[in-house]
Amino acid sequence: MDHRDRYQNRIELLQGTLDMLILQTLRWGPQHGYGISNAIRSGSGDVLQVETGSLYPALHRLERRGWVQSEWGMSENKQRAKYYKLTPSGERQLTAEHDRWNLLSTAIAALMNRGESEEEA
Amino acid sequence: MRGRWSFLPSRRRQTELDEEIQSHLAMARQERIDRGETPQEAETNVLREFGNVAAVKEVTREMWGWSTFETFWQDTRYAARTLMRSPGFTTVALLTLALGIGANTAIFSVVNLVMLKPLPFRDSDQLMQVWTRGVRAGGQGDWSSFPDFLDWRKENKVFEDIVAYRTWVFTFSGDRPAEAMPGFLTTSRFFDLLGAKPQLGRTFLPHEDQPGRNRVVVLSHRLWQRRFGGEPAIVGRSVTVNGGSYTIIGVMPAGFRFLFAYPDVFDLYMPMQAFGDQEERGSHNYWAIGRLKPGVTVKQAEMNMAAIGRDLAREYPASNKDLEVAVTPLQQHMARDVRSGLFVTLGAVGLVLLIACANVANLVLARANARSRELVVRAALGASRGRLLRQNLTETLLLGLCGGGFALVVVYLAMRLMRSVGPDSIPRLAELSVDWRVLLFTLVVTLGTAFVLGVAPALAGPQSAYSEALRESGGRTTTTGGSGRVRAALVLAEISLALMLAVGAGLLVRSFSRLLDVEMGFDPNDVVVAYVMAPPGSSNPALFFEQVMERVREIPGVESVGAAAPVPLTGWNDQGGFSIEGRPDPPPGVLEFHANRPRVSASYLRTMKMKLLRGRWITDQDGAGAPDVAVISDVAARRYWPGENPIGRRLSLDERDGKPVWREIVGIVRGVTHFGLDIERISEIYVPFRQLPEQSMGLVIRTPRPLSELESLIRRQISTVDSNGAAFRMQTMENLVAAAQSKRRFQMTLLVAFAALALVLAAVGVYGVVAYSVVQRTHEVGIRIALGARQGQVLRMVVRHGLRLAVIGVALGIAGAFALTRLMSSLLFGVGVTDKVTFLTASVLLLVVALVACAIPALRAARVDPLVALRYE
Repeated sequence: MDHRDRYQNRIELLQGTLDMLILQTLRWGPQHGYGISNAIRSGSGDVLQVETGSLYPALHRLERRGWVQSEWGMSENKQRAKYYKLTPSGERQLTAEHDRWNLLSTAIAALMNRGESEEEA
Repeated sequence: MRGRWSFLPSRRRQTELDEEIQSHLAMARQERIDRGETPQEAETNVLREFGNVAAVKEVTREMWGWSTFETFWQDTRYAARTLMRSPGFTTVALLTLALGIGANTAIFSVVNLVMLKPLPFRDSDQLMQVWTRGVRAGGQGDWSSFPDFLDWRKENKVFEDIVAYRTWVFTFSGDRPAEAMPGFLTTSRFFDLLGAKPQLGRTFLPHEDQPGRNRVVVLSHRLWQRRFGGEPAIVGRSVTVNGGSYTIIGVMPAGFRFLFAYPDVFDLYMPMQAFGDQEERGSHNYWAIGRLKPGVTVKQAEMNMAAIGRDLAREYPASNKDLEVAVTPLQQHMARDVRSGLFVTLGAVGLVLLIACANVANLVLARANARSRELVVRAALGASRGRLLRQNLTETLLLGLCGGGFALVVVYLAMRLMRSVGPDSIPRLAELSVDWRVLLFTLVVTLGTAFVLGVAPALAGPQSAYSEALRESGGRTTTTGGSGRVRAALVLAEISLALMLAVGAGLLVRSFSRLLDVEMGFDPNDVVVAYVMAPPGSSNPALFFEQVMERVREIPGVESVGAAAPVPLTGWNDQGGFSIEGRPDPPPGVLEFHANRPRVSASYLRTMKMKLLRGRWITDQDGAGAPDVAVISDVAARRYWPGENPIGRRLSLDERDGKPVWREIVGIVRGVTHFGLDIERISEIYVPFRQLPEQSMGLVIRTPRPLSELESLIRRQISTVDSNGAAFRMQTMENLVAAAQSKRRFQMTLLVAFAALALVLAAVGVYGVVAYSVVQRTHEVGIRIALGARQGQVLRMVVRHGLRLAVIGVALGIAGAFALTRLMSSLLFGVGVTDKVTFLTASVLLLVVALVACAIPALRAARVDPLVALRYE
């Protein structure tokens, strides 16, 4: 029970953002769960560590909504793996989320910067 | 919840998730090993990095959500458990639905059989009965004349072919004891037209109905088995039929039957033989069937034949004026006597289902009220309104489907019953079965019922228990107002529908009692009827019948024996025209002198206990050579000699040596119901059989002994007179009367059963609503009693509530019945569609039933202990 609650909390904290990051990662082509988590970690310079307990529920949720599709394939190391692929509606969703993110981050940045500049003043 | 339901998400999905995670771990492990970690280190690190595998799976699975099917399954399981938790409610509801749906399906199965299920002939929807309509002077039947048939066949442009046939009685003799049986005489293309193939040999060749070539017969499977022991080499055998030599050319398969509504099974098919009436356009003794050309509609055929009929009427006004040629699909024609009755019955049983639905909906609503606390809890736990409604719909769907399932048991039993007691007038009743149409009907009715039940609570509107449950946040959850009103409306509907049914059933009961009161003109009790054929080719059949009567009279227990051709209620008749001395024969098309003309023995009147009104009856002295005489019925006297004394007048219905035989009217008897008890009697002229002999006569035997004891004795006595004389179709007159009543009896029994069912259901409905309101008002009643109300006052208060519903329901029902009973006017006999006695009786009956239904809860209310009532809550 404890574990489950912990993971659930994190999902909720990360949910919107993680979905967007996953979709963004898949823009470069189909990828399996392990690959996605690696891509996010290395792409963020090791800042963002995606918990598997968040990653897999997110992937399955995205698939249920029809934003990604999955397919079994072979990795470079001849390992059978489940690959996720962006669907057209996933791409639209990514664009929308990206816009929202831009709006949000600009707004937050503006707020934070004003605070900083006031402090400096 | 999870654990209990999780067995359902597909196993495949589970394994896929396992594999997905295993592949993740494998890739992570490989990468670490590639980076130089030892396998053990890699294993440990990977697992640490990944976290709790089981927990990851769990949270991932949670994303799958419930599929529609899973939700449905969950709802169904829940519904089943709920229903099983209240066995009383479930039993009553299921029983009601099973009876309602079952009765509907059973009646529909008869409709299906009679009107929808194709006849067992090739492309049977192309087969048409072609017949002569507009019979003159009160004659009965759908026969046509042979010359007309020949002209129809020649002139029409719409039929591939038309065939004619008639029934006839054949006597088999020769190798074994003589045996008489009914059979068909047909034109040669009869079997080809139906598309019927023989089991052995062949059927008739074209033109095999022509003189010189028509000495062949085709046997039924039954006759082949019975008389010839199923002998495989039967084809080509020569047999003696009606004294002549015929060759057996074929045997029909066991399932082949042609005239379904006829009580006899016809065993012999012979090509048409030459008869005198084949030249007479006025002799209507033949039936005709046509097969439409491909692409020709019934309408076109009707128009073409009607035009031919008009041409014939112009050309032969003496015989054909005012006659029309009608074309009716064969199946419809066969069902013509039972159609309207079936539709009324189907309508009635539909009303029963409506009442049943109202009742179960009432139960569902009452239970919804009782369950509102549960609903509040479930709503509070997050169930959406939609989900609750769907849950409810699932429950009623389950209820409906189970009801439909049980209904099939009801149908099975009802079919067995109907097959055994159904009247002969329903064609093909032995073929009654459940086919895809019946199953489809059951399914549609069941789903419709379930839907109505499921939607009813929602329709109860914003006041429904569901909404209330959703609005109220808990606490006291009594339901008042809205849903109570809906339930009252349902009961109102039930009462009015039940009244309509009661009125309909009452009208049929009254009709039937009128039918039982019909004075038949003879006494059918203790009379046996046996058709007897004189030896084929007998030169003096009258002598043969005299001797047969004498011998049969010798049988111990036989009081008297008479003979007539035809005998009433046997389906045989001899209608025809006659002349009256001193009056010109009527001009063509004008009311003709028309009568049924039985040949009778002197002992016939005494044996049948007919009533002589004036003059004398036929005596043994009225033989050949004696003065020609006739006795007429009172119907004929009133019709043709109004205000005169017909005795001593002369009439003629036959010719001797090319000259009319003038017969003196010597007596008047009370007419008999020859064609049926509810069919208007037509004029009759009785003629001494010795002055106008017949080859076949009906023997009437008055005796208290049962038919089973007499049958072989009668046959033996006949064969002592002449071994080639044969009897067939022995029945008691009581059976013939019962058969004449059977259609109405069947109809009446069905409607009375439905009305009774409706009354019980309506009573349960009234009881339910009143009892429920009493429970709700216990508090109020307690206060009233505490404040000094007497038991009687409480009783009156409750009863008034129920009776008000009943009175309004009855008023609505009377209005409805007025509108509906006119649809059944063709089924009534001797009563009007607005018969006051019936309406009054039905209304009082319903009020009494409602009163009784109110009385029980009212008495309970009157005994309320104020202390308990006030503590209630």
